Amino acid sequence: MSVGITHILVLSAGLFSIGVFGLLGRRNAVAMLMAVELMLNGVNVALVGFARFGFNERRPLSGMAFALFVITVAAAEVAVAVALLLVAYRRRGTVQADELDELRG
Amino acid sequence: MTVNPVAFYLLSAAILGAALAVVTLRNIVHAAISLVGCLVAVGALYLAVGADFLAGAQILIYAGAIPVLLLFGIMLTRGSMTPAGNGLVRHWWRAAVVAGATAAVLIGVLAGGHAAWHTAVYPQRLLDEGTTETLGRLLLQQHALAFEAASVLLLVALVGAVTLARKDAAEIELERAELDRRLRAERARRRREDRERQRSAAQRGQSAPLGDGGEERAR
Repeated sequence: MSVGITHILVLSAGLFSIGVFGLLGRRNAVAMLMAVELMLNGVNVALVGFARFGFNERRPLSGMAFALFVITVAAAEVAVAVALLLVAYRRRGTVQADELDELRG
Repeated sequence: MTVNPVAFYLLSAAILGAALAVVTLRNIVHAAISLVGCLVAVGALYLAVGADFLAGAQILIYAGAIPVLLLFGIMLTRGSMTPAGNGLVRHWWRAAVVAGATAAVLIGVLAGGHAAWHTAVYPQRLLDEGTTETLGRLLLQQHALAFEAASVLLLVALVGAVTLARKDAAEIELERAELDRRLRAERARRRREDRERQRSAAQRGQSAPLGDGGEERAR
């Protein structure tokens, strides 16, 4: 059976769901960040799959261009998030998401 | 031109396995390293489907730079990490239910909408010559504005990250005072030890003839 768009999309859905599980199930904020990376990668896999199997002659490879933008934004996101966690650790002495609960009413 | 099924299934297994390791491993450094493995496998998958430029970007940025940043984050916040704190939350099965529901919805949509998708033959030209030229034209002509906006975003985010992570003046002052106090305490301790050593040396000097005298008396 030849590999088609459905195969790629199922892989993408799996990767995204594993990322959702990690984001909700982990206590450590750095680990949650890693799970977000997995989710972004799942979306990128889908975008590349669309660019490859749903080729559009008028706009060739738009999916891949979009994936490149996602990679750029992910790099910016990780830099800011690590800086935020560093500040949280310095001020509060922890990066456990369930202990950073000052806003709880 | 089709994608090699063996490569696809092997890479899919590697990607999903490494992703599961990322979300379940208790040791957070191990989780980060399996994240690198997962991202490299995704890059290899891009190569397998013919997205060569994207594969390079994936390896350079995703598998190279981002895990290094995450590892720095881990090392710098390590003081608070305990094996229990790094694990899953107590009600992790709730997270599993939500993730399973997400997967069910996504795959359900896939199963339902499959026929409606626009699919087309990928040109042989792009497989032979690579995607770099086409992608470059796309980015610098049609998406030039978005491209520039992305570079500005990256710059702003990195400057913001530096500003956030830098210690402010009050913190630096506090740390300097702490260091000063510690140095002064250390110096005082050393002086006290010196004095005690001198005193005990002096006592030994006095007690030595006494000892000799004692020996003579015993003889």
